[in-house]
Amino acid sequence: MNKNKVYLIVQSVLCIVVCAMLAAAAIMIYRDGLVLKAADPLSWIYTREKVAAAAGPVMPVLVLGIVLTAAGLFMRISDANADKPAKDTEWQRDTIVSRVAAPSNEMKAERSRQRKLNYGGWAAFALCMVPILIYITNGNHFPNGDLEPVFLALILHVIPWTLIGLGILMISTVLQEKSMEREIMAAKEQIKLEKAEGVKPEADDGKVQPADRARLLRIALLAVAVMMIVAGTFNGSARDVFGKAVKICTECIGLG
Amino acid sequence: MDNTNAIGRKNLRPSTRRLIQLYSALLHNAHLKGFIDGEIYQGSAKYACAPGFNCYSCPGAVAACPLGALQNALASSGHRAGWYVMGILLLFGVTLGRTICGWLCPLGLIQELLNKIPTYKIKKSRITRVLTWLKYVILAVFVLAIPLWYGLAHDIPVPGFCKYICPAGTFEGAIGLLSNPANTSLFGMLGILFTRKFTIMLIIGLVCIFCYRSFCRFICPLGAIYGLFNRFCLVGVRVDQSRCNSCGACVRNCGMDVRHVGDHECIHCAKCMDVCAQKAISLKAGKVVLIASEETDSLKATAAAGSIKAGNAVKTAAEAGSLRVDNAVKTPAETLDRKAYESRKKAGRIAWGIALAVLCFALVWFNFLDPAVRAETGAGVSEQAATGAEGSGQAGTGVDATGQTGATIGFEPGMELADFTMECLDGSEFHLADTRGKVVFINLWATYCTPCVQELPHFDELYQQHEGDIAMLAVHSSIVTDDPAEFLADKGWTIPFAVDTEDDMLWSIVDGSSTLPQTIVLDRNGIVIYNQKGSVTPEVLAALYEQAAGE
Repeated sequence: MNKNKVYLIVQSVLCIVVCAMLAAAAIMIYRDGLVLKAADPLSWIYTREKVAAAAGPVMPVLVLGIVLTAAGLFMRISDANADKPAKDTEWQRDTIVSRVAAPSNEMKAERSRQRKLNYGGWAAFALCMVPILIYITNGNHFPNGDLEPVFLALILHVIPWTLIGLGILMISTVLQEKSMEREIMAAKEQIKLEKAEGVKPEADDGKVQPADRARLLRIALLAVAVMMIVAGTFNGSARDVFGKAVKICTECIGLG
Repeated sequence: MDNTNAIGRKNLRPSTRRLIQLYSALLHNAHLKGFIDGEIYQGSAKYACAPGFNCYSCPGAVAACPLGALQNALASSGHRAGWYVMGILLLFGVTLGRTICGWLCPLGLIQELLNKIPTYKIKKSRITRVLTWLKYVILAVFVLAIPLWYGLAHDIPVPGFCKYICPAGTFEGAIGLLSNPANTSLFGMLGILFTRKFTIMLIIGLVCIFCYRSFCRFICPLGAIYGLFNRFCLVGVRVDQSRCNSCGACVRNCGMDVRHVGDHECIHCAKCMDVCAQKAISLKAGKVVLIASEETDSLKATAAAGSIKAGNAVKTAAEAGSLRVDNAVKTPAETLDRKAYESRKKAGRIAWGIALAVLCFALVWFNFLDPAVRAETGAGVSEQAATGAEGSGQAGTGVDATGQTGATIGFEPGMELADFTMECLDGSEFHLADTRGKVVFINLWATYCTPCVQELPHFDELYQQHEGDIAMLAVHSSIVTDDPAEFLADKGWTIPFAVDTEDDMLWSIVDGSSTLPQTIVLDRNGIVIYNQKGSVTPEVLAALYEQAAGE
């Protein structure tokens, strides 16, 4: 194992450890503070002293991390793999397929499979979004009062469906990639065959960008934007922005 | 010397984009004085929304956060449509799109700097491409649904994304304010919300170290909104199809999950220009070329040719390299390019000059000249003078003012609150001197403050519970967005409500700040026993009453 690898492992672990220690410190302060709060409602959960005491053990690790980062940057250590281009099977497929004059049946079958997987994946994802949509459009799920249980129920409902949706999409993506690899293999075979037969693919005319349509759309939307801003200035929504921005919304920034 | 080393050294120098990001971050947070005072900027520049993701509760922020403003507008949609914010978002989207993410967003800069920490990196793949759809779910649930429901059904502004997810609010706003010794009192309101948001911030920060711009790619709802306009926005990276040979180097070398240059995931950072051996990519504003491929550093181009070779691209490194070497022998067309390059360089220098002048002006204006900043400084000076007078014992005692306690006039616990009279919304008058013998609760609130609106029922409950023994006044900030009387009409609360005068008379008496809500409790002698920012629970209110009543 070379020095770079050792450095990267140590630095990666340090980053995780620092974050874990900071999160643990915050949770410990909160837990201890809750006990005090139960006895005396006027006591504070967090105090500057408590934070300073909890930050004590994190500091040496944090300083070590900063020093190592500075050293790593100075020595130009980096994950060599990160600088390499990412693997893009879709691009590879398109490039190779563009050199094929007439796709073989195998290629067509694989392309059809990819299409089905793509549509299937998206359909499944859309289906998983339906329960979320039903949930968030029902006002009964957002009652007045303590927002904590509302938030918890929302998270418990949204996260599983989102994970399932994204999971299905990922599976479909992986399967598409496998299919693309098979199509690439088939395309390579086809190129060899066509080369032997002396068949050449037709030249690509190149894609034409609908620049004029984009320009028109842009101008129309700009006009709409200006009208909306003017309307907002008169209907008081600009004042809303100002009112919210000049007062610290303690809840928005996580203070409480 | 090989190219790799040369590139390494080159990378230590900030690129033009990095300089613009730093410039933008400084411009977004030009109120540097706020970091020293621990107070946010309250001037009229906050009518405007900043293009990038920058919390408006950051002590340095000089403009409003577009996403926070959008949630607030949606929450107020029962009263009026938020045309202003929607118009501004549309304007930013159509003109700049996600160029904002790549060049202007302060949070984008923070993420990129975190990703510079040398660790193992998670590369983009088709899996990360799938994860990019998560931000649309977050946009729908936290930015649109939660604020809309609570705004329409309950008249409570609940900024779902800010409250539950936003790491910028925690980092720039909460930690930015808490780290200032002047804001020690803010520690009193920290609880579960802070613990949760601090942990979320750490997790997002950690993921950003390992995975390039992961917040932008997977979570950011603002990026999701701007992404909708990316294909036709005015400023952005454009591909000259007549030059492009579809080698795919641009997409494979991009850190974002793009499928094509300029699609909804592209942040127009123009890094792809460095790897395009065909010089087919340029950053344009309409038809005007802002940065063209031929302007990129030759060293980078050679490196790009190397990376193309590594990635089994169609062009070989030798071929790509020769494209650059050929520049030495100029054709008439290339001479024209050179002229255009020179003129663009000149224009660039002028633009930098103007930009620096704007920055200097902004720094001077937002720290010294802005009327809001001057008023703040003035208040600070008069406050100091008052404290000095109290310290010397020559003035400021309550003997002359009230003739009762002899305690020092002030707002700190142990001091006697200065007398005042306020006209209530129901037409009655609240005169502090008349409340002697009763426990007094004063609450500072605003219709647009969620915790304020949520805690008012607890105050009302306490008021009804100890009617006759308690005097209470809820004072709305002088900044009014919705008519408080109209807002309170159907609430059924019995507490006397008032709106502070335009010169913030009550705010200055009780040391009200830009932080809401705030509660002040006086004992039966008019002595302050509690003066804290932040919301209070029914348990805290009951304990405060007992303490003030001497039970």
